[in-house]
Amino acid sequence: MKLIRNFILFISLLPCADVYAQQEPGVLSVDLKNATIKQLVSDIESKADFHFFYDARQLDSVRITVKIVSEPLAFILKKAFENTPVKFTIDPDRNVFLTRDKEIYASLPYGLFESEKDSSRIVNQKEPSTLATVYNQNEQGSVTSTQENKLVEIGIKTSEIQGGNVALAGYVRDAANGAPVIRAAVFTDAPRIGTYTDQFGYYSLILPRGAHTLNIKALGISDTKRRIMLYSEGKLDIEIKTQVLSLREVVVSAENSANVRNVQMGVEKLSIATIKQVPVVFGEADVVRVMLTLPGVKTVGEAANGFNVRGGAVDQNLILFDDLTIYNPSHFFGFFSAFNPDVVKDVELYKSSIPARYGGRLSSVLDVSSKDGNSRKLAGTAGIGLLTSRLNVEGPLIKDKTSFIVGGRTTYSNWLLRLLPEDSNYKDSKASFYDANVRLSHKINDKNNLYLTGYLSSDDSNLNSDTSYAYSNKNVSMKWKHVFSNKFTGVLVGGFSSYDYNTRSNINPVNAYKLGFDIKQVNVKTDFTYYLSPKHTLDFGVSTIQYKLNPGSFTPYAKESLIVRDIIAPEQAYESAVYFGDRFDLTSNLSLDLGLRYSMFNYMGPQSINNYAPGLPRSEPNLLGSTDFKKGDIVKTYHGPEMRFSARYQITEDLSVKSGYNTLRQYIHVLSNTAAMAPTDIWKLSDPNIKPQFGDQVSLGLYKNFKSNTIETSVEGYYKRLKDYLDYRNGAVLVMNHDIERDVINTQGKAYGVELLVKKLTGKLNGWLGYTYSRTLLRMDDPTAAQLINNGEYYPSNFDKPHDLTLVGNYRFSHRFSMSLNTTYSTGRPITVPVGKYFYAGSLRARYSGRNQLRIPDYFRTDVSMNIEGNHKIHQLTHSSWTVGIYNLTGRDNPYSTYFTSEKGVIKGYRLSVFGNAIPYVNYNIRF
Amino acid sequence: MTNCHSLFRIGRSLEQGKTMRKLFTIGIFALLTVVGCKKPFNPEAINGFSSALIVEGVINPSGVTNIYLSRTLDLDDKVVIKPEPKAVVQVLSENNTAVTLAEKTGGLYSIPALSLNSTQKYRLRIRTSAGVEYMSDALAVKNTPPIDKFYWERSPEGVGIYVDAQDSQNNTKYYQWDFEEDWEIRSIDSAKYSGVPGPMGGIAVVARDSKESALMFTCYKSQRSTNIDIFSTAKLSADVVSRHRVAFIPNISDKLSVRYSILVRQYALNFEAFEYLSMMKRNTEQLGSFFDAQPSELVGNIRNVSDKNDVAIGYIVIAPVLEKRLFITISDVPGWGFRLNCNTFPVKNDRDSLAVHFGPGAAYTPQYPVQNSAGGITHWTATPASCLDCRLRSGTNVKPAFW
Repeated sequence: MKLIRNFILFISLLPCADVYAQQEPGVLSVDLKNATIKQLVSDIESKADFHFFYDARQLDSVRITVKIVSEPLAFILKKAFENTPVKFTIDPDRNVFLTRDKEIYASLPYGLFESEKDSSRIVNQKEPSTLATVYNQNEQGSVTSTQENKLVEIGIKTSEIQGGNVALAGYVRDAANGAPVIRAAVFTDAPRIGTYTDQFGYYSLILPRGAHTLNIKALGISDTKRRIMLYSEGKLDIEIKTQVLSLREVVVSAENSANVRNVQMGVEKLSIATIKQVPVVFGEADVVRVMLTLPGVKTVGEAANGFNVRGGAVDQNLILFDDLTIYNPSHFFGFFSAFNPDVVKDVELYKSSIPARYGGRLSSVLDVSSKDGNSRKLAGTAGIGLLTSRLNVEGPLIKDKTSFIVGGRTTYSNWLLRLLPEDSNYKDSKASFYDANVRLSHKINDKNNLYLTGYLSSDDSNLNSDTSYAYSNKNVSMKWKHVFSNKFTGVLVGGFSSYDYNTRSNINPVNAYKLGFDIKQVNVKTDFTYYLSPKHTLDFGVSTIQYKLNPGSFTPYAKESLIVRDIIAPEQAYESAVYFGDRFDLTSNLSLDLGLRYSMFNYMGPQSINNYAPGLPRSEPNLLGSTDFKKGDIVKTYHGPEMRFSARYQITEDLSVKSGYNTLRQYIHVLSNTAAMAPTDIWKLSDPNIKPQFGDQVSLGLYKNFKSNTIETSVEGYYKRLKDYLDYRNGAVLVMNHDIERDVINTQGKAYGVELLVKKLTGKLNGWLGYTYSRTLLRMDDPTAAQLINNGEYYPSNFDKPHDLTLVGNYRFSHRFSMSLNTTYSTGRPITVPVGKYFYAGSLRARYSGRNQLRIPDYFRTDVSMNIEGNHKIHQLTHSSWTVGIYNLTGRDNPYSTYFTSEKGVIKGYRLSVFGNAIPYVNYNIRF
Repeated sequence: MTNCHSLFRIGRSLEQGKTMRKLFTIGIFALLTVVGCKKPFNPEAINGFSSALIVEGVINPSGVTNIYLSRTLDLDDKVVIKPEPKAVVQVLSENNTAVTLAEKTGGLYSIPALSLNSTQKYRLRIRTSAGVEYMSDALAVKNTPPIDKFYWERSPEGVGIYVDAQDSQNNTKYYQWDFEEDWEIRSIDSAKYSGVPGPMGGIAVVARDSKESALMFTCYKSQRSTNIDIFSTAKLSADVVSRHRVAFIPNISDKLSVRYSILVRQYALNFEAFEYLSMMKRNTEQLGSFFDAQPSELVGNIRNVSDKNDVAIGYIVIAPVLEKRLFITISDVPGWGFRLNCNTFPVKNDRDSLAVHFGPGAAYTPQYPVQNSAGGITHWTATPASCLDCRLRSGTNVKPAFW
C-alpha cells in the first residue's frame, strides 16, 4: 500500500501543507546507523521541509550509516548513498526523488510538451532526452508501464531519434486483477493517431519515432496517459487502475469524445457497473433490460422475450456471449435475461454500423463479454435477491498466467410458490431456472493466449401441475489469440452452441405428450487484424457455422398415450462467410470504415422438399410433389455480398457528422405468431421454399460534445428496408408443421426513425436522456399468398411504437450512497381489435378486421433505486452493498396486451398488465 | 371488474390437433400472477364496417337441417343477435336441383329431412331479401360415427359430462359437439299467500290461488352451449375420442337442484371447417394470456357470388347430426350443495309494514303467519320473492316434452 500511496503522491505532486520550522536554513544534521531509507526520509522530513518521493520496493534492501552535522541536504545524501545504488535528485521545490541506479533529471527535455515540440529539434537533439528510465523490463522484453509520469523508452535506444514510423503494440490491463481492458481508446494527440484495444485488451499503433503522450481512455477506468519515447518497434503493456466501488463514474460510452471521433455509428456500450445502477424489476441486474433504455431499442412489453432494434424483429438480433450464439437470452419466459451480471464485463450493441466481422442477422449485434478471472488473487461476489441468488468466484490458477472465473445463479421461486394459499391455482406449480458460467484464461507466452468459455442456462417450469415447459442453452468455446507481430494479430475461435426446449403434459394419459425442439451449431472462425500504416487498419477473416436443427418431435409421454410419434425431419446447413474491412483515415478529419462480407448458405440433405406450382400459392392443392435429397447433397445454396460502410467527418474537435450504409443477410428465422416472442418459438433455416431475409439501412448522424466532452449529444436518423421477412398467414400453425412454407408469407418491411440522445458522463449527477421517433411498417406482397393481410397494404408491426422517451439518471450523494431513476414513456403498441360482433355457437363473438389497426394505451413507468455501499475500509474480509428500489413507482398498470372474449354470451374487452403495482425489491451483495 | 389472480391459463388439451400454439397460453409463475392484472378495456368502438352475413348450422343428410342466418352488429349495438329474415335458403345438388328450407322465426331456416346422396357434392345457396346471392363451396357428405357413450362423473369441483366415440374406419378425425341443457328448479316452499292491494291504498295478505302457487313452485330452465367444442384425433394413432368433456356443472349450481337433462349433438367436420372453427375459437374464447396468438380475420366457405371479398361468417359442412340424452337427478349426486339464500324475517301485521314489504313489485313474499296464543296474526314472515317464485329465477312453466 505504501507503494500506491507513493505513486499517488508522485502523480499528483501535491504540495505538503505542513511546513516545519527549521533549525537553520539550508543545513541540517543527520546521525543514523544501519537505517532504512524510510528511517532516513522520516528523519530528514522531520527536520526540514523537504519531501521525498521514492519506490519503497526498489530501495527496501538499502541500509545507510551516516553521521553529518550542519551540511546541505545534497551533501548529506551524497555521503549517505555512497556505495549504494541509490541516486537522488532535488528539485527547486525542495522535492527529493530517490531512485535506484538511474538518475532523475529535474528539468524536462524538449519534445515532451507540445508547445515545445518541433520535430527538427527533436531530431537534432544531441543530449539524450531521457528523463527517467524507471521501468521494469520483463523477460519477454515488453515493458509494463503502470505510472503516468514516467517516461518509458521503447525499442533500441539511439542517441538520435530517427525518422519514420514504427509499430507499438501491447496489452492494456487492469492493474488490480490483470484483466484485459476491452475497447479502450489508445491514442496520441499530435499527430492524432489512435486505435482501440480488442477483446483481449490488445492494441497496436503505428507511430512516428520520438516522444509521445499516449492517452488511454476506457469504460470504468480513470483516463490516463503514458509518456513514451519511441526509438524503434516495441511493446508496451499498460496497466491502469479502475475506479473503485461507487467512486466509479457512470460511463455510458466507451470513451469520452469517442462518439464524436469513432467512425462507427449506432454503437452503444454499457459497463456492468452502469447496468447495475439502473433499477430493474426485482432488483435483478439485467443486461437486456438496460439496453431497452437506449434509443432505438424497444420491446413489445415486459413479458417479451428479447428486444427490437430499429424496427427489426426479435430474431434479427445476433446475441453473442464471448462469441457464442445465444438463442434464448432469457429466463422465466422473458422476465429476466439469462446473463449473470456478476460475470459480465460489458455489453456492446451495434444497431447501425455492424462491423464486417459480424453477420447472419439483420438488425443488430449484442456482444456480451464476460470477465476474465482475477489473475492476481482469489476473489468473489455473492448476491441475494428476492428471486435469485448468485455466487461467483474468480482467481488465479497460475499467478499472472492462468485465471478462472466461475459464476452461478439460481432461483428459489419454488419456495415462494409453495407459500401461496392452498386454494390458489399455482400451489402445485414449479418454476426454476439457473445459469452457470465458467471462463479460463491462459497466457501461454507473450504472443499466445488461450480462452475457454462455458455457459449453461436452464429453465423448467410446471404450472398448475399441467404442462411443463423446459428450455436450455448450452455453449462452449475455445479461443486462441496469436500475435504474429506488432502489426499483425489473429484470433481463432471454435465453439459449440445449442438450444433446446420441450413441453410436456400428462394430465390425460390418453393424450399425454412431449413436444421437443432443438438447434445445435458448431462454428469456427478466424479474425485477423493488420495495422498496415497509421492510416489503414485492415480486418479480415473467414467463418463457417454448421447448423443442425430438429424442428420438432411430438411423442407420447405416458404408457396409455395414443399420441402418434411425429418427428419432423432434421435440417442441416452451413453458413459461411469471408470478410475484409479497412479502417482508413483519409485525412485527419475524414475517416472511412469500409467493409465487405460475402456470405453463403448451403441447405444440406438428407431432406425431402415440397415442390409447388410456380406462381401459385404454396398450398396443398398446388403441391406438385417432392424431391428427396441424400445425406451430403446440397439442397439449395444462397449467397451474396454484404456491404458495410461508414464515414466520419470531424468538423471541429467536438463536432462530427457520420453516415453509414449496411446490407445484411439472414438465413435462420424464428417462427412465431404470438404477440410477444414465446420461449417455445422455433427456429427455421432457409430452404428452397423459404428465402433468406435481406435488409439494408442508411443512416446519418450528427455528434456534438459539450463541456470538455462531459456532455455528449447526438442525432441519428435511419431508413431501413427489409425483404423476405417472414410473417404468417392468419391462423398459421407453426408448431409441428411439416409444411411450414404453406403458413408463412414473405413480407416487405420498412423502418425509419430519428434518435436523439443526451448523455452526461461524469459528475455527481449523470445519466442519459433519449428520445426516438420511429415507425416500422410491413406489407405482404407475396404473389403466391392466397390471402394478403390487410389486402396487401402497409400495416404497423407489433413493435411499432412511434414515440419513445427514456431518462436514466443517477445522483451520487456520497461515495457510499447513490440514487438512480429510470423513467420511460412510449406509445402503445399496435393491436388488432374487433370492429363488430356477431352471434355464433351460442355466444356473442368479436369480429376482427385488419391486423394491428389500433393501439393499446401508452406506456409509462418510473423506477427508483438506492445503492448503499458498506464502508470502504480496504482491509476487511468482505465488502457488502445493498440495493433497495421500487419498480413501477407510480403503480401504473401499463397494458401489455388486450383481448376480447365472449363471456356468457357478452363480449368483453380486457387488458392485461404484467406489473400492475409498484414492486419493491431489495438485493444484498457481497464481494470477497 | 378486476382480476389480478387468474389471468394465466394453461392450454389443457390437444383438441385442436395441429394448433398447439394454444398450449403456449402460458401461465408464467405465480408470483407474477399476484402482481399481474386484468382489467376491462373498452376502446372507442370502430363502427361503420359493412355488415356481414352469418351462416350457422350443419346440413344433415338424414335428419333435420337447421340453418340460422343473422348479421354482424356494431360493437355498441344493444341487441345480441340481428336475424336475417326473408331470405331464400336452398341446398343445391350437382345437377342444380334445389331443395328450399322453410323460414321459421328468428332467422331460422329449416327442413325436417333431406335425403342427400353421399357420393354427391352439394352447395348451400342463400339469396337475401336485398337480393344478394351467397354460395358455399361444393361440399362432400361426411359421415359421423355414433356416440359410443354419453355419461357423467362426479369430481370434487362438480359434475363433468363426457362423450366417448370412435371411428374404426379412421375417417372422421374432426369432431364437433353442441348441447342443450334443461333442468327443473323448485321454490323452497309453496307460495300460499300474497300481498294484494287493500282498502285505502294499503296492502292485505290473502291466500293465493292454488294454481298460481303450483306455477310458482316448479319451473324449468334451459340453455344452449355457448362455446365452440371441437376436437381432433388427427394426432392420435386411432380415431378415438376418449372422455371428451362436453359440459361441466360446477358445485352448488342450481342445475342439479332437482333434475337435469342434457342433449348432446355430435357431428363430423372436415379439416378446413375444423381449422376455421379453431381460429374463431382462438379469436373469441381463448385469448387472455401473454403468449396468445394474435387475433385474425376469418375466411369461411360461403361467399357473395358477385363480390368475392364479401365472405359470410361461418363454415358449412354436410354431416349427420347424432344426438344422445342423459338425465341426472339430485339423488344421484349426494351432497350437492345447491341452496337458495332465503333469509326470512317477521313483518308486523299492520297496514304500513305490510305495504312496505309486500306492496306491488316488492322483493318479498309473505310465507306464513305468526300467531299469538289467541290465534291472532301478529306478524307475517317475509321471504325473498325469488325463493317462493321460481319464475323469478328465469324459469318457465313450460315443461319440456321429453320430461
